[in-house]
Amino acid sequence: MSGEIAFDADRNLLVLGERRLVFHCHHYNVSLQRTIDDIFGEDAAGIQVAAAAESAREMLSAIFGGSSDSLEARLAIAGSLFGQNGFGLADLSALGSEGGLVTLGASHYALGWRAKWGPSERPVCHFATGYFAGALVAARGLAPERVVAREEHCAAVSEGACRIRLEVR
Amino acid sequence: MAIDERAVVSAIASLGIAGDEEGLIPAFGLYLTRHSADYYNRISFAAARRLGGSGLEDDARALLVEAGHVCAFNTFGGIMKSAEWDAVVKPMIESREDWVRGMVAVINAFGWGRWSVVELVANERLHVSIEDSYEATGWLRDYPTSERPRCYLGCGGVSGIMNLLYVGDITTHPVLDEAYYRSLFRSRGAFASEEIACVAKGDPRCEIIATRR
Repeated sequence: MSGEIAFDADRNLLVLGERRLVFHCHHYNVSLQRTIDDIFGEDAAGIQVAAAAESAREMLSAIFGGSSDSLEARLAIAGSLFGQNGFGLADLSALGSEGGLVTLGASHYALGWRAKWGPSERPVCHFATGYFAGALVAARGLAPERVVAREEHCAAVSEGACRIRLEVR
Repeated sequence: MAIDERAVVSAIASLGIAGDEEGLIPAFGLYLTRHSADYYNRISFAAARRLGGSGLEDDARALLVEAGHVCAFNTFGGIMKSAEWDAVVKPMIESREDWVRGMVAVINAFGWGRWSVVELVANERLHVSIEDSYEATGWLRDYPTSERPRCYLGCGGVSGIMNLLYVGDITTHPVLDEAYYRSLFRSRGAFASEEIACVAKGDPRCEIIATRR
């Protein structure tokens, strides 16, 4: 299994790691996120983080497969795909086997949220938070509930890079 | 010249749309993502099930279709105003209805499953058939056969195309701001979609019809 995206032009299917990808823009992404926020209230962030972690874990597990790649190499693949797919620029240098910090030099959701709605009162990078939780789970082959992730700072709230803290329990 | 869908899909696919040095995809005046269908489905269906459990299924559908309207307005609108549209699709266009068919051809490079125009009556009605809708196939994979159709984004997209062409006039390159959005999607006589068949319900394909409400 590779990290290459396959496009079936006859059926209009984009597939990566046995999972479908679909193009969408920041207007849809942050509008759908706000809809979910409105419906679920305080539970909304957790639901979106969990959904992102699940989807990332399944996709990346298929890509990593039974390879003998190191943890660092697997995390590098996850970070590269994050950027290739338009979610932002992730610095994973402070992320290791027991967790650590992911810093987003650019974040699609933070940028998109500010562009559409203005500053946010709370962090908005739920997809990125879950994505890197799922990436660490897939890279180490952990039980999903062992990785806890939280966005400590979000560029949609105030100036500065988005920071996501991950912890293995 | 009719819209050559294969040529359009080939041209869009060849653009090599992917993250730049910042990991972002600025295109068509938007920031694009190549996103996980599973993620959209999980959060959308969680919302539908949460409100559905309170007897508010229609409200859930309205909210999720509204997100689809926002997508259509900005993404489809942005594309139809773009240099790429002018280069690839516009030379094939001979009528306003070709704008609809051209946009459907572009959608067929988005990974959403294959959209086909079944019937287009100018200014009245658009009937689209979708094979491999990511929403419907995602529902069917993870949940029991549905009593309701589940292509919320698809519905927003189909009515969105009609609103851009026959309520507004995307051919004149309008500014796609909030006021213009409201004038297209909140006006009397705006197009709304009904999904008359859906794979999530056990139908062989998804079929969506947009008419004026």
